[in-house]
Amino acid sequence: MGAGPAGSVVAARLAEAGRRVLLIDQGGEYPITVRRQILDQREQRLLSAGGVDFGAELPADFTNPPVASPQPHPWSYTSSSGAGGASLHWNAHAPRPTAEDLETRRLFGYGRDWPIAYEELEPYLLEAERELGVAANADNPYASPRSAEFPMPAHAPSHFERSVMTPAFERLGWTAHTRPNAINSRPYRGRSQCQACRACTACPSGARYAADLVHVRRFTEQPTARLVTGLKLRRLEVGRDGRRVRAAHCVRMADRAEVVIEAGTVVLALNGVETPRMLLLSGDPVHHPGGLGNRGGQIGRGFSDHIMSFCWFELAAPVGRGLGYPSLNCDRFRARAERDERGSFSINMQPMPSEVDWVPAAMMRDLMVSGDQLTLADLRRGLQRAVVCWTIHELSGAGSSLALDAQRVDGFGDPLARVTLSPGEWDLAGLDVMAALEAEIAGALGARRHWNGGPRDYGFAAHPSGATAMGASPDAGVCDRDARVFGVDNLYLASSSVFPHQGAANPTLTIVALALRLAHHLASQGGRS
Amino acid sequence: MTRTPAHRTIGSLAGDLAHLVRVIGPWPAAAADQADALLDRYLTDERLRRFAPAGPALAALAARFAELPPACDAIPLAGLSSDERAALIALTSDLYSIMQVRFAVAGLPPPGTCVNDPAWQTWVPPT
Repeated sequence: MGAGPAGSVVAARLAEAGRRVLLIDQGGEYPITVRRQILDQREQRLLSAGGVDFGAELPADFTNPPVASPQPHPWSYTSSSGAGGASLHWNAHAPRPTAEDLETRRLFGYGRDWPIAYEELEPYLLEAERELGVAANADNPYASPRSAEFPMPAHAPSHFERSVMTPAFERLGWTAHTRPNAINSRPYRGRSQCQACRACTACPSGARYAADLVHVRRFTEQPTARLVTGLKLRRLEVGRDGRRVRAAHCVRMADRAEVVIEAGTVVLALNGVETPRMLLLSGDPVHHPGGLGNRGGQIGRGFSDHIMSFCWFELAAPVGRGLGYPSLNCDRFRARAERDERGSFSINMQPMPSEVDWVPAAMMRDLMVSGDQLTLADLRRGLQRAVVCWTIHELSGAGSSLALDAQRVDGFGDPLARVTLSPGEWDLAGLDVMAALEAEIAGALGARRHWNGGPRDYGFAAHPSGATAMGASPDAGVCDRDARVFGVDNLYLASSSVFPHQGAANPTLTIVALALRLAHHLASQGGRS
Repeated sequence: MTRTPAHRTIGSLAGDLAHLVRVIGPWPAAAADQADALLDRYLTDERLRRFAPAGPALAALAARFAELPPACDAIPLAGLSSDERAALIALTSDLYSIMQVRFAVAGLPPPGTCVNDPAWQTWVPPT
């Protein structure tokens, strides 16, 4: 259920192992030509990334519904439906977690420890890098050990990264290292190398990994595989003893017909919001009154995301060109962080413009007004000297949750997910550290001016996780270390929602590593479907 | 999305905006076709509605700057009313916030244009 990176990896692996597999998704299929159409629409309408996105053709009730989030800083996220899922429009930053990320409770007293050690996960992370096609060099001094090289070398650093950022970081005592991007630096497994289109969110060349171009394609080539799109899952139904999922109840987009699917094994691979929501929607009054697999009341607990902060610098000279994504970044504050005092974070910078940046109002004003002059030449010059910096911050997950909303429903009358996520002092302390570093970075870069969004200004990163965590028992999680839902023998999860805790790493690589691990587990079980 | 016709005259909101965009924009006279191409996409009904409250100020600005060439380097703000000054700054902010305009300012092909140059990002700009 769900043809994003997680679902399609599991499905492809099992079909390749000879299993009969049905893969469904509520969205459609998007040939490579659709990427070009999306980019043309953005260009025609003068829109940035996200202004026109995959799935725009879907009827409203077939898109993922928004969440209810009543706190003062409302949480929201972007998602994408269809064969490919979120990988249709992702930015392809594919870092690994650190070993410490998986045991923050034991080491630092926050979060939840994973039931899988880094050493056990590492071979799957390596395999995931090969499946996605991750380009980087093994030069990150802050990373946990790896057992082999990346499948392809890093992209060459830009002029800014090589000549300005790297020396600046050295002056600060930090190391700039290659940034793992799931974007080909050379032709890889039938896909081209990056063609510098600088429009990664709808990559028109196929150089950036997208599940539909790789795993969905591999899946559909298998004689035992069947892909059905335009099928929205509404509820899972358990059998009489409550121990097994008996049927999946869906609606077909084409004619709104109800479709019932029966399967020996079900893998729920929606996303970090829709996976827990589906378990909550599938509660059974006799066996699973609070949601499917919710015996310990764990569904929704520990829901988390990342927060992001931004700052901007005007350098003394033009910054040159970018690929649309950084080739280098810095994990100094992921690995040598004072994590008993604050969350870890990564630092990323790139020359402007890019399809995903913007110019904050204060920067625009400062660049274009000087005394009683509208200084247009200065504005144009300043924009050619601008770089944007963003940091991705770990959250503790303390006090956060996901539940069903009591009032708001989607187009089929099913309750929306209700998210409570209010970063606390520990979570926000990393923003203070970065704010204090901003002037130092500006000095090291030789920047003329710098700007930020204001004290503790942040946004969410659309990396929802943690609401159906793996745990040792139903009192500690929703699924076991093999991602099988407690109390439901044939239901497995493949999603960031199974992360007990999320460090400052973007989640997709880990999602795929866990999907590969789940596929390995299921392939080792008996049965044909 | 409905677009305003490309031929606009000063005195209408679309005409005033078009003239001012040429004056403050990055396209010199030799690149008038690029300015026109941008204007065709920029002057949407939605944007005209958004700037409509500033219509009188924009009309005054267009009349005042009627003889200015495209892609001016600087415009004096002294002597402008507060409404005119606010309208000019808002229009400049809006124009230069557009990603496609910023790519033009940087002399870069629009995002989505595949340059297919493996050394693209390593180019050293002249200082």
